[in-house]
Amino acid sequence: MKYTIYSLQNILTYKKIKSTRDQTKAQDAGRENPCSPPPCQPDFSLCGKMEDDFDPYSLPPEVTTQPHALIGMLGLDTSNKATHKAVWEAFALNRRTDRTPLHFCHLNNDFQMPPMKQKRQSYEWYIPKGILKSNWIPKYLYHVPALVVLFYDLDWNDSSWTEKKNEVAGQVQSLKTVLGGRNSRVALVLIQSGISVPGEDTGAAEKAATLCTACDLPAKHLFVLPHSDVHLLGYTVRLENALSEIAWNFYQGEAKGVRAHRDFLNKTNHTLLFVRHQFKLGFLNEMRNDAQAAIKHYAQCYHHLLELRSTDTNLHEIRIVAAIVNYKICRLDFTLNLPRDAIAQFRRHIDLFRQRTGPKELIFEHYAWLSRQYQIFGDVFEEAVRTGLPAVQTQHPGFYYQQAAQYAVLRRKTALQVCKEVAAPVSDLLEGWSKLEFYGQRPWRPGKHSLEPPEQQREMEGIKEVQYHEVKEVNHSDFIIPLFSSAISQFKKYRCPRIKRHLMVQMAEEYHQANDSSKALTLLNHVMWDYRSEKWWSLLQSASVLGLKCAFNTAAITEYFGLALEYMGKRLSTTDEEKKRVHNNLLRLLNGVTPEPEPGTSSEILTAATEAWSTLLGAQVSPITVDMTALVPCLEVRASFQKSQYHVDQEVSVSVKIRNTYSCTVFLSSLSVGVSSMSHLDRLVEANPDKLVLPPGQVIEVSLHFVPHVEDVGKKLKVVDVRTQLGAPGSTVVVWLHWSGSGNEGVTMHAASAPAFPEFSVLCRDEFDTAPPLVETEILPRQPLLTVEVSYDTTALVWEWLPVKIHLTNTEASMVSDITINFGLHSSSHSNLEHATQVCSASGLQSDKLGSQVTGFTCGNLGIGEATFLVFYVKSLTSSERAYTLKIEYSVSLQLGGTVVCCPCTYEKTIQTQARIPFQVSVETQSLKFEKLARVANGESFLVVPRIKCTSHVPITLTNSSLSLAGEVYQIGTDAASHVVNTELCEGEMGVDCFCIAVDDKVVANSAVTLGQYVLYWKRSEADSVAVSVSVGLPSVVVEHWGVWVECEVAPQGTVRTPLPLAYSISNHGSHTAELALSMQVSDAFMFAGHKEVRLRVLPGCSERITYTLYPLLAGNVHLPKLSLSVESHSPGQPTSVDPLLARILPTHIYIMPQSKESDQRISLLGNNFSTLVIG
Amino acid sequence: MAVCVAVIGKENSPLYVWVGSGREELHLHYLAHTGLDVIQEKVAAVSKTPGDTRELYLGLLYASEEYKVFGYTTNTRVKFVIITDAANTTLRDNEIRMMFRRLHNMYTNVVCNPFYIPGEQITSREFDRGVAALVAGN
Repeated sequence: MKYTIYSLQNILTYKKIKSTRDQTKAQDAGRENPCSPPPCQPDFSLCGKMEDDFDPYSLPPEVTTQPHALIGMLGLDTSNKATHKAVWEAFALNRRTDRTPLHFCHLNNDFQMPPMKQKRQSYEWYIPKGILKSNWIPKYLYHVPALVVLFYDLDWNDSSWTEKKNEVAGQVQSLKTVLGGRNSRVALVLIQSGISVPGEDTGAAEKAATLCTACDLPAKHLFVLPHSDVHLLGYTVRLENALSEIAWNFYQGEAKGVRAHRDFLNKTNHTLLFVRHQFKLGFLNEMRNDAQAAIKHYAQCYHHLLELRSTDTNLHEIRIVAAIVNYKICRLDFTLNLPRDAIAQFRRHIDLFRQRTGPKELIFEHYAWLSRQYQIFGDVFEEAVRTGLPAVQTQHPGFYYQQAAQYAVLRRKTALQVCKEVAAPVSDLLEGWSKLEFYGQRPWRPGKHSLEPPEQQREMEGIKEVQYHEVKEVNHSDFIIPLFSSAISQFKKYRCPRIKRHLMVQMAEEYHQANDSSKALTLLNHVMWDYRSEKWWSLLQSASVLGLKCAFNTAAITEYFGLALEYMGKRLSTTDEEKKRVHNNLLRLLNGVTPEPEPGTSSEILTAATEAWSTLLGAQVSPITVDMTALVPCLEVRASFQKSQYHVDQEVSVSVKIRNTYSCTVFLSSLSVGVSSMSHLDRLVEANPDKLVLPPGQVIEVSLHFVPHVEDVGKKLKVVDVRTQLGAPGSTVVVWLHWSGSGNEGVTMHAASAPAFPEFSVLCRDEFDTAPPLVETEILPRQPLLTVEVSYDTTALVWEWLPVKIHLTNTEASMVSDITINFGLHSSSHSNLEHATQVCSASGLQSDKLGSQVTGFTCGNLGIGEATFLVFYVKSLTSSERAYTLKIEYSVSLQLGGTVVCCPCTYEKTIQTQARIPFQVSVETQSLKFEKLARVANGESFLVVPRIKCTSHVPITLTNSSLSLAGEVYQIGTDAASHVVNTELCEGEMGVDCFCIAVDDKVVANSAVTLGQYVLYWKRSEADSVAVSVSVGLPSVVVEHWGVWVECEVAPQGTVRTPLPLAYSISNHGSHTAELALSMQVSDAFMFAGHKEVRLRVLPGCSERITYTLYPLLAGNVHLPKLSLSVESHSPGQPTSVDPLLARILPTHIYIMPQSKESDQRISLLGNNFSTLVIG
Repeated sequence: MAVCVAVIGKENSPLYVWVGSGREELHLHYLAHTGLDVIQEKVAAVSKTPGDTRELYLGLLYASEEYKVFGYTTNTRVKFVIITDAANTTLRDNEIRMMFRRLHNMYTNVVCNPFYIPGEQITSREFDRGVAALVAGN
């Protein structure tokens, strides 16, 4: 047998409610086309149709029909005349609720009225035979029109007016004859094609008056319906308002007639008539749309009804009538928007009748009736809600449907109790049950309303037949299930999920009773999940017991296993024997044997179920997977990694704990865990059944291991699921128990085992419950065993190549191969630093394209125990702190789990340096007299003096220095070398260098000349450091142009009283002849021979030489006689006096030695050497 | 007096259910459980208006033909449900309220017990006695 899965929605609304509501709908539908019932016969066609579905405890259909005034329409030829059809449709079809409540029926010319009864002159001897006649309501609803409207096509200006007038009069007359003694009113409507304008056609009023007289109709009963398509509906609405007035007058008249009878009644014989008359008054008022008055009369009617003496014999009639009256009151109350009154009336009604149970043999009738009462009220309530009444969570139709369902269940229960030994009836006493003259009477004694049964024997037989009918011919489930279905949809609407679930359980029970176990099982599955998550074990148990039965009945093997495993767990407080029984059934199933039936299974179901099981088990049963996560089963599982992190070369171990809360040992044949590892697509399996024996109440632990794959590095591995196979290996039926995740997800996550306040549970609960399983583990790269030593000076000097020395020693157990080193600025460094930092390996020192990273530096392989050494250099161009990352990647071959795996390792280290400036260089330009100078003349020699101040924390050595001069500058003396070669400077010390240079002649006068750069080569004083060069810009000088140039030729020193030659050679660099006046001032230290004052003319490009012979008088550093020169003939732009130039370039002093002894010749020679140094 | 007393935890799981002897136990369990629907709705309605000190007693939750269900909720969302016979007219609203207050005190004592784990089923002889006295009306 195949287990069919129904959708929940399907099940909940599977069967239509055969309620009064549907009948009302049928009635409504019938009313749409009222041409159909032949009006001449009493209309029982609807009742006749109900014969099969006749329910003696519900309301007759005519009662639930909304009463509207009945207006007959005569003379409309709808099939032949389009105009008439349009008029008929405007009146009768598609009536909206805002139009006057009227009911139109189309009459043919040959219609008949129901015959009138003989008017009773006296009620004195009249004994009524029952309370309410069943033909009275249909009579007024369908057969006695309050008003018959005769339609006739007649214009005022019709040519044959008189003939037609007479014809109309004749028709009216015959109509009145047909109406006979009935008080039905007659109205005449003239359908006119032209629109008459009042006042224009004076003949109209007159003609109307004559027409009324001819027809013997009051003037108010004559109407004109102008037929034009546009306004037809408007005219009909106005017309029907006028017609409704007339019709209502008719009902008022009828009511007056009923009221007139009252005077004849007496309290002894006619108590039934009090009830009947008030009902009639209420109904007639309802017909004339006066709900207030109708309620008043119905209430009076109900009151009279309660005053009737009731015995077991007439109780049924009384309560059926009470149901009708109560229905009318409640419905009208809701219509008038008085829901409280309606509910109060219903409560009172139920309270009054709940105690009146009637005879014991027919107790089920009482419950049937009660159930109907609730259902009817629920329907009325629901209808009111649909038309806008607000309902609340605690007061809505659902409660009434629920109660109705419960009474329906009670009805069946009592019926089965009472009617245990019921035999098929001999005679058909129930014949005509649905066509009785009075509502609620017994078919075997119709028309008898007495306190005692007229024939005891017949009464007994009648009761037997009712019992037989109840048990054999009533399908109780057809009543009960739709009621539950209605209630469920209501409770769903009003947000009562738990009540809904309760109802679903009850509905499932009902489906189970109705032999529809698969539907019941589907319902239960939906409900049980919620009971599990809210830990209502008692409720879960009740559902579970039922579920097991259903699963057995339908041979739903998966559900059976699931429910059974749950049943065996400790959460359900069933007895041990019960659990044992279920367990045995499981064991039977595992061996391919049909399980024992659940207790209480009836024999015919058992046959079907056994057959289903044997077909199922006869064929090869495909493996069954039970989702344990959604259950609260007797086996609980926790799968957990042992650590939250593993290195890739370590074995990952997963421990699975299984707890058995069943009272006996459970055997599993295999256990497997799924892990989200790239490499392990296979599951981790423990297939040794000996390790999977679960003793009762104990936790066993199974450890599983695997080696992660290299591709798993950096990933998080998860326990995907746990799966075990139930039973010993080789079972006929393979049952997989499946837990998703680590076992405590799903319903059990927040329900079965997880404590509400875990912080409180640590001391009290066992580890199984409290320890959170490690569901995830992270796979880390292998821990590197390579020894790396990094040595460097943490204080770097700016511009230097700071060596970072790396010693690698292979301390791995195997050869290290493919060593790759990345070294560079830390990735989080500021981008400015990237441009101000250079990193290179030893071989890259000479390269000029250096970045802040060295990547992919390969270093080959290292055997076991071998060591290697390498150096990286870093250059800091600014003084700031820097962080560098050293990353060494290599791979080793490892023996893992029997296979050789090439395993990558990574070593990472960050180093920090602080760079400081090693020295500061300041450069000055000086004249040959060591005076600071900013302006020089073309060709004039001057000095460049760099001063180097050391700020380094370690001694530095200046290895060399040189000038890198601009094009127009040249150095004096080709062998001029640096003065700082191999000078070591410590912090605070200073070195001074000196170079003599001159500026080319070609330089334009008065322009600034950039001299070039001073290049200094330096290194740390340590032996192995690399020398680096630093270039410092030389200051610029302004070049002057002098037309006259003087050079002095004199020995470096003289000797007292020894003649000393002195010559000035004056040259003209200009383009004009220079007229010069020269004068030589006297000096105390010398006598001299030569021109004291002389005038010279020097041609361009030529020079004059003026010689003197000095005779020193004093020893020491003495003033030379001062030469002064002035230019006489001006060339433009040249100074007249050249004295400032002379002061700068000519020596002012000279050393005069004392007269030496003969032997001291060498001293004077020595003095020659010092001459330049000592000036100043 | 009362036919059923239930203490229901924060997450709507039963902590303690007492049912009068001779009553349909399962049916009363269902009733106590379904009462949660109304409690939830009532509590939600109140919590929408903040600053309102909540009345713990929720009154009559609903009434069926046979039983009346009353509700009460503590500030920690523990719910109490008391079910009485619908025919029982001696118990007025005020008396029910007093019963709930007593029940609340008794529950507080249970929680004060250091060996009681909140959220677990209540197994306490003292509480049993208290409930027995409560439903007996003395």
